[in-house]
Amino acid sequence: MIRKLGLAFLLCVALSSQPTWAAKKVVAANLTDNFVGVSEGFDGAKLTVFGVLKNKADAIVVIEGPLAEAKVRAKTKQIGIWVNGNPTTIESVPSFYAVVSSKPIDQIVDAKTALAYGLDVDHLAVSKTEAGAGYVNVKRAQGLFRYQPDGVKILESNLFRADIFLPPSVPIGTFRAHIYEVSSGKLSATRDETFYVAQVGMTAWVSKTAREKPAFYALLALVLSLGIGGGAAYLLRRMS
Amino acid sequence: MDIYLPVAEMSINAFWLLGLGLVVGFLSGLFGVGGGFMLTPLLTFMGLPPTIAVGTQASQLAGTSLSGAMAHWRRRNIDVRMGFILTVGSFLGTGVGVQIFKWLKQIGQINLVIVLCYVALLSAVGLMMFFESAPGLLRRGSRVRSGGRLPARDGVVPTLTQGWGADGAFAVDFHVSNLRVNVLLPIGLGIIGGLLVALLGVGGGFVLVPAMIYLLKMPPALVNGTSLFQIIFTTAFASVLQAVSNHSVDVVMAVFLLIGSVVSVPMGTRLASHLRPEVARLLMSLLILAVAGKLIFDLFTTPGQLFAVETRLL
Repeated sequence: MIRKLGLAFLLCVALSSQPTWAAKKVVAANLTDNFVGVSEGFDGAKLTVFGVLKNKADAIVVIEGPLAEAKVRAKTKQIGIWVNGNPTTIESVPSFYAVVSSKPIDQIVDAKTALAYGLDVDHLAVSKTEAGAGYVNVKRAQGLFRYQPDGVKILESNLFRADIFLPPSVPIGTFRAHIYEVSSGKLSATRDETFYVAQVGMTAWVSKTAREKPAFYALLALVLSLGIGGGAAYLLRRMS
Repeated sequence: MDIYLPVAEMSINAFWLLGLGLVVGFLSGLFGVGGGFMLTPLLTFMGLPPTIAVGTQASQLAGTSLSGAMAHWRRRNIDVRMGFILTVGSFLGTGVGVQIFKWLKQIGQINLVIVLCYVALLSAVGLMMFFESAPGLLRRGSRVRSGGRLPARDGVVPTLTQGWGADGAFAVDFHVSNLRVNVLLPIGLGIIGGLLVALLGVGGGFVLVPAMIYLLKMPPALVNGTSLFQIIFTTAFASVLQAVSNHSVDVVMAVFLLIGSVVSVPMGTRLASHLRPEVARLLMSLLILAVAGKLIFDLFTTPGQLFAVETRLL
């Protein structure tokens, strides 16, 4: 217990010693949408964050998807064949993570700050373990962990606009957008926004039914399948 | 045009799905098999998780086999009694198979097992067909395709063919097939068929059909129809179990595949009557071996990702 308290204390010190966080200035920014609907023809969505920066400042936007529990299995070669090994469980990790910035991250902030705020997708805290690094690699390949160093456009009058692409396989749930203003290497202001990704329409109904009433769902799928199969056979016979 | 699959939670090109349905339906009409054994590997090549491919196919195959069985029904090529006894076995096999599937999924080895089973099955069937080690099989099967019909039976059957265990305690008469056989044999075949449906998402016709001819000694003309008849119930049962225990049935994908396949089955059937059976067999064996070869290649080459990740949202 004492050790835990000690750790918590150290964490507090560590956090408060972040020089810029204490500033608590708020970036004037917002999202174009707080809701992204996933329906039948969904092939990804574009989310736009816009706002105003201090003069000569840069902007970094971090989009964090709903937290997930991940089981990571290293593949090993056994008798010549690639086989999944025993799982390592990561208890809580974002299912989606995107960083967009106005310049490459290493040109805006130092590595320590980048690590502390999760600004560098290639050096996240989770990647310190082998399983965590494997998780990030797989998610990057799936397009669910993304980094776009030119994703934030700074327009005239210090207006900025960040476009974030949410791929078709985007997880469903609550997302957080962290918006950071960086001037001369320091995080000078920040803002957190929330948005939601949810299935809508028929898609939502289908996936909800499949999860909550699987037997009914299966029977429905079966009736459809038998109807199409039987109906087609009947029609083809009538036609020939 | 991309279509979002609500259970697989990914989007896929709708024309690809329709096209895949068309190809598989065509093959199934051409070769007189269900075509499921081609579909699972092709779907996984397209990036679908094998579990979803297997579960969805069970549902979709129910429709495909119904449309096939209806044609056989009109020609009276179905031994209903045998079909139901096979179904008893296949329900057992399916029930056990879905539990095995669930267990393999939990220990993270389901994808490997599906691939290994496919490699074994496709290589065996492909090589067998290629070397024509079962020469009589498809020639006889082709009689069914060309509309072969059993001689009319009016009541009296002279003598029943004596199958395995015909003089034992469990012997059962099948008058439509003109056969007396130990009932445990068709039940056992059914169990194998059920396992195949649950684990691999195939109807199992390409295993059951030769077994029914050579082991069960059923008249070849009745075999395709009876096998399809039984597959309707087996796949229907399997799809319900898969949806309940593994949440692996995607209805949107099933519908697109079905629409493609029901259109092209008759085209395949029509071509089959113009194609020499040996040619068809050779083409099919090459196709099967190509798919098996790709699966084997993937097993041995270093994968693009050295980690397998399974996420569950909190």
